[in-house]
Amino acid sequence: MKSKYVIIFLLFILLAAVSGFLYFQKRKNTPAALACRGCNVIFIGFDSLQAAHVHHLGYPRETTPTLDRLAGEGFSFSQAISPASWTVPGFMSVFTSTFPSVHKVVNRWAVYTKTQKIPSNLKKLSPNIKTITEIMKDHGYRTGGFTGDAGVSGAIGYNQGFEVYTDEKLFGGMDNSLNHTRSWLDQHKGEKFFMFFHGYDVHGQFDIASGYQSPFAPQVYHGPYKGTKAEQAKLREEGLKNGAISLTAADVAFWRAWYDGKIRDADARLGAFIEELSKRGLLDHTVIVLFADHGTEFYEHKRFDHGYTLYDELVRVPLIIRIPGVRGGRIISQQVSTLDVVPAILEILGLNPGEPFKSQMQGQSLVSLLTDTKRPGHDVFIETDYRNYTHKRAIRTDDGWKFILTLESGQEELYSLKPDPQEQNNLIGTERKKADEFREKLFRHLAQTLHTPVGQPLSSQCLPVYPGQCPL
Amino acid sequence: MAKNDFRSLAPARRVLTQIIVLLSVLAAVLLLPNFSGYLQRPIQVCQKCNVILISLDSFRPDHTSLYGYARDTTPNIDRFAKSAFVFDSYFAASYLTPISEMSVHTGKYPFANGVINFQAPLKKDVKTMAQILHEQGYRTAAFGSSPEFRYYEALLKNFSRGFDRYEVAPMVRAPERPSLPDWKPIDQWLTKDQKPFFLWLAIGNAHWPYGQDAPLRFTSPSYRGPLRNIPLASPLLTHIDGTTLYKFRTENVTGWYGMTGYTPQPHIPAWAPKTNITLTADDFSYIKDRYDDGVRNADQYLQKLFSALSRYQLLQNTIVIIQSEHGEELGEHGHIAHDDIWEATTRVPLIIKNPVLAGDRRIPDLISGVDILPTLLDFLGIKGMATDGESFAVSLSGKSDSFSRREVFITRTPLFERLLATPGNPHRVREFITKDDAEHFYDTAIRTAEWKLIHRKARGMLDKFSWWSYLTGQAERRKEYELYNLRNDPGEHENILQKFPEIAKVLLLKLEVWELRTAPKENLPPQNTKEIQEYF
Repeated sequence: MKSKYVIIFLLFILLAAVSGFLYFQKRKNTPAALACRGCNVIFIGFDSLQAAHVHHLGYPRETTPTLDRLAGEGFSFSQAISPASWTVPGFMSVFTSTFPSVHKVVNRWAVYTKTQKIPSNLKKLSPNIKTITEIMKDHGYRTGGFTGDAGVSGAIGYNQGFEVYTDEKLFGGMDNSLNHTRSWLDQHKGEKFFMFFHGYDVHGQFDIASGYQSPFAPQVYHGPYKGTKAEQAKLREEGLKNGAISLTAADVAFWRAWYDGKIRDADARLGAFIEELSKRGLLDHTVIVLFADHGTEFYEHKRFDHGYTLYDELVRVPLIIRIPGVRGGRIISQQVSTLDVVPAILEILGLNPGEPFKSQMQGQSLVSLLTDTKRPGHDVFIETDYRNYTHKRAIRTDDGWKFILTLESGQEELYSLKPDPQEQNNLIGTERKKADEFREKLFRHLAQTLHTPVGQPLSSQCLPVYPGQCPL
Repeated sequence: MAKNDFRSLAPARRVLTQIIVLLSVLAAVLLLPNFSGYLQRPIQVCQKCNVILISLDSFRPDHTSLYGYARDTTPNIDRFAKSAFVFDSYFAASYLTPISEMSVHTGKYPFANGVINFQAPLKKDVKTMAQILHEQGYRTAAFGSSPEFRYYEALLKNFSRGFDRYEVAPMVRAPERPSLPDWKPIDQWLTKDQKPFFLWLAIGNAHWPYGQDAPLRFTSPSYRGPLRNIPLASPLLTHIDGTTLYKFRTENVTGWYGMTGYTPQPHIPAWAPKTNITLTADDFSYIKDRYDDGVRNADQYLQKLFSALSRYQLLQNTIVIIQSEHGEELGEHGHIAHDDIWEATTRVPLIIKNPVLAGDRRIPDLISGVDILPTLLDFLGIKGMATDGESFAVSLSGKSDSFSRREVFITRTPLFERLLATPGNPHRVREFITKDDAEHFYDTAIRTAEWKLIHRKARGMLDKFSWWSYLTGQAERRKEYELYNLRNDPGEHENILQKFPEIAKVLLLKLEVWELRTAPKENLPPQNTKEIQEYF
């Protein structure tokens, strides 16, 4: 008799244990479980890396072991889109969660004419816009930025909110940033911090050792290129001048292999950085967000470099979030914008940034996408005013369409990304209904969200972002 | 069981039959899209068809019986239009005769083709309808009574391009304006030989002076008001603002008359009022009656053409396009004129007959004057011409929701008659035409099915030189933007820009993108040289 009750009791305990286990298992993946209050935050800016060259996102070459490992521990987005196609506006959009036309840091110079050159600066152009850095600082975080200057130079406004901001080396890489990081972390042991770790290692203007051989280089290459930054610059400018450059298939294979080699090397340096964090016991209370500001074109549309178009090779970027204690290992395919990073961080940290920052943010937190596979992504908007050479605006929809408008010529392009991910087949003449739909959405965005100043003539000399710069 | 029953077949045969049926169904399914594609193939070409373009000056569609006017002003056009396409939302690209008309002849907007005023040259590399058809081996002729295609050298040169024969009547001393072209030579020319022909008929009859030489059917012979016995021509009509007919003043009359090519009249005509007169409803009715008589007179004249087409059996191989290059304001905004880009001046009739397309349909969709040429070329199967317009040829043979145009764009270069010669300096006005037009002192508008946004860029200049300001002594004081909702306010009286700023912004952005695309680069505001910012 007694044994019967014992058995029932034990079964009950077993049931309770199983339920409890399942309950806590479920809890781990709810948004509440993604919280990381008081955690450190590191933004890793992997400049110029396009998503298509990331191994775990489908690229056949093993270019990114560190990123792959990070993605295995966290969440990686396969359709993360930058709101810009080059550095100056791209990272600024992330730090402010605003579109380039809104924060107005769209070019190196705010005014650039024969007689006048006024450099851009966030505070001067948009005094009411704050960066996440300032918010973090207000909440007692130590703030440090370790970067490669150029497009993220402190003078442009990237240093806003950073107690320490290093940018002494033009087109500096991760090794250089890591040196600065080490000493800074030494100084602030035990204190919660927000860090921007950035390097130009895969950028065209990165100083690479002469005679560099990419591990992916073709066995035999008889073409003229050596992979120097001077060659890259020349190809870039030639493409801008002529609208296209002319390379052989062998040249293209060489350059793409060279890019992949640089990615591999940078990935290894990144690995050293992560190792450093691990050594210091920081990984279990540091949220890591890795993203790029833009990709790099290697002849996908017959040109080199970035900034001057809004095709996917320039705007589809890696985005990986690793939250301590959260088992990830999932690739999320819903479309997001890198504008969504800062709102997500605030949610994860449980920080209330208050006004006006709350109203300033134009991104939507992507936290819910980390757990909810059914939740849809959203349409994203992209822009560039690259060096006054061109002014383009685009919408990339959640269901795989891209509509691009070139403001100075009125030219329109429409691509269906699912059958045509290379964006080679412009459907603007045939898919009229779709074109109408997206044109309308884009124009509304320009008018309502970007407050594109009307009444300004849209010439390529006058940036449509700065009122009063184009006198009638 | 019958012997031929399917079930009676041997199993192997049954299976074979099933396979064949399946394959047939599959084939049909696969081929069907192609088959229906064949059925919906773009329109049949009207091979070497003749083309007749009729330009009816100053025709308001809402004063034609075809478009629902209570008066029987266009019985002949009505009858002709029975098997034609009639367009309810056709808009001219501008509001002045030659500027608007050239957009139709070239399929390009005024700043893109060059004809932005009465003296600007048509660009050398732009081809007109007549040139294109002439190159295709057509014999081409223009007959007309609209002096605007003749009386300046530039106008003559521009519009006569491509015509073997150009007989648009020269301007004569006002108000003896020849109202209708002599029919006999046209009749003879139609049947001259077997080559396909392009005929352009420019009927000026409904233009000022209203009802010129027209039988008076709508005008009451018992009218005794101040306007009787005075030609309702521009010198008189432009002295009306609101309900006042302003007196003629001696100073500056020279400039006005001198510019239009009229014989300079340093003296005020005998019929001109010497004091301001308040006009009554009767007076305005009289003006409209005369206008309607002009419309009907043009319609009567067109019957000559319609019966000739029947008689010579030309209907079966002739495309006929009847359109107007602008309408007319009859007091809606206080003026009796076509001097601005209101609905009344830009909404115009369009009737198209194409013998290979079944007509007798009303098309509600937006069409612009620049769409006529590309559509005509599609009708004729002539390829390779780049225009600013969108062909609606395919849409005419499909469902109505296949019309792609979502907005029309309208340009207003300042009516030179409104530019006042400052006392003692009539040459100043001429300077204005070329210099300021080129520097974009003009208004533009975008009109969707529901909204119209006007950008008054010329307001600064007009403040200084507006005829109406001179006349009334009151400055124009235009706002920079005007937004009208045409569903609720078809008369365009309430500027609701402040209520709908976001709609205005969207429209203005589209307008600016259009301007950049169609305005020649050299006419953009200064600073249009690309100066790329240097790299890091």
